[in-house]
Amino acid sequence: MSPTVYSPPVGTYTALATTTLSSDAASVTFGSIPATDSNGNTIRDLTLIMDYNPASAGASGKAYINGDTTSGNYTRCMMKGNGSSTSSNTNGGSIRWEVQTLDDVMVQMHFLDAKASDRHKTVLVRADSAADGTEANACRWANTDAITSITVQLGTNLLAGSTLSLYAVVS
Amino acid sequence: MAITKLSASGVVNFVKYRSMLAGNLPYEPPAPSAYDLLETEILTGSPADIQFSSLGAYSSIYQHLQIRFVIRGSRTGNSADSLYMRMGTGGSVDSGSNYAWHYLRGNGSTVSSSAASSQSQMMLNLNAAAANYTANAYTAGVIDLLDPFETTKFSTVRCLTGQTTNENSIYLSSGLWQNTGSVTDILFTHQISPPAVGSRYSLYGLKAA
Repeated sequence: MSPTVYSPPVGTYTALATTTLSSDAASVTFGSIPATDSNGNTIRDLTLIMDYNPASAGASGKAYINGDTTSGNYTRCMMKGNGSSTSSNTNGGSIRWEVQTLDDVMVQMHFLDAKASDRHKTVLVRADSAADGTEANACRWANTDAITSITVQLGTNLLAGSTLSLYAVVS
Repeated sequence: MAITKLSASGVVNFVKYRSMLAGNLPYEPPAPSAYDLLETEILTGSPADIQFSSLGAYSSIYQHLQIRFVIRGSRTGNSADSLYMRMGTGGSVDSGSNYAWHYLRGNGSTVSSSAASSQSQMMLNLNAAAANYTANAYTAGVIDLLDPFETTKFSTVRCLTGQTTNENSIYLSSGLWQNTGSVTDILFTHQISPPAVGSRYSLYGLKAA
């Protein structure tokens, strides 16, 4: 089977929104995520890139889709290395990452088939901190709805200066 | 209708412009994208393989390639399926023992690593969701192919992939194709059974400067 070839190629990875916090915030929500990008092309995937500092250590990151905070709707598998040991668990309840540090944390999240309405949403998360290790997660939101909002929270504040950027990828 | 004196209207309070833009900013077209969608396959059947071919057409424009996939297998047994990847040059896929791979895997309780060389394909994921797994749940992944068109180096790929269905897994995989040819073909197969209807494979290009 041969794929559909786009000629000319379709420019994508378009920025939908960027937030640089001017003050500490308990959460950040990207709402009203559109179905099409600025070029009018139908969005398939979303990618969220974050660079933040938390107000206190010991605060793992969480994200919720479409305002759904029902713990049972999220499953997860993670692995992490911190320089001396590795770990893996299935602690879910949200899209989640466990890097916990007062230092800078970088997170990249891929929401694959985010705008599809016939499948659960698989979210791949990479989280890194020089102070606490490197981590990868596969998460699933057990809902077939298209993603229209994403909320990020830590259980502590994201400090002013933290940046969060959401991108759209078409297919 | 109110009557406005002509002396108070815009006809009189005009501003002279030396430019046809009349104070407006000139139109500047958006910067060309550096990341382009090239090809997509969303399966309506269950073919034995999915092949991106004639990729040489992209070699003068793009430096790197990325593939994003969302897949289920058609296998109905109690085990998941493995996702394999081959590459080729000159218009033919290489099925020789010219591949190597490594992976780092978490399964929800332990982290493990494995590797193999002199293989006939790269193995990117041992646990693609099977047909009898949780309905509507898919295995997803992002593959980066760095410098696939360079002819002075072997082709290396890296992959982040995982799922939480009947089996839990998260993988960081790498693959090596020991051939310096400019890549013209990429072939995906599943180890046991074809991918299922609805599986999606999309190819993107990252432009060279």
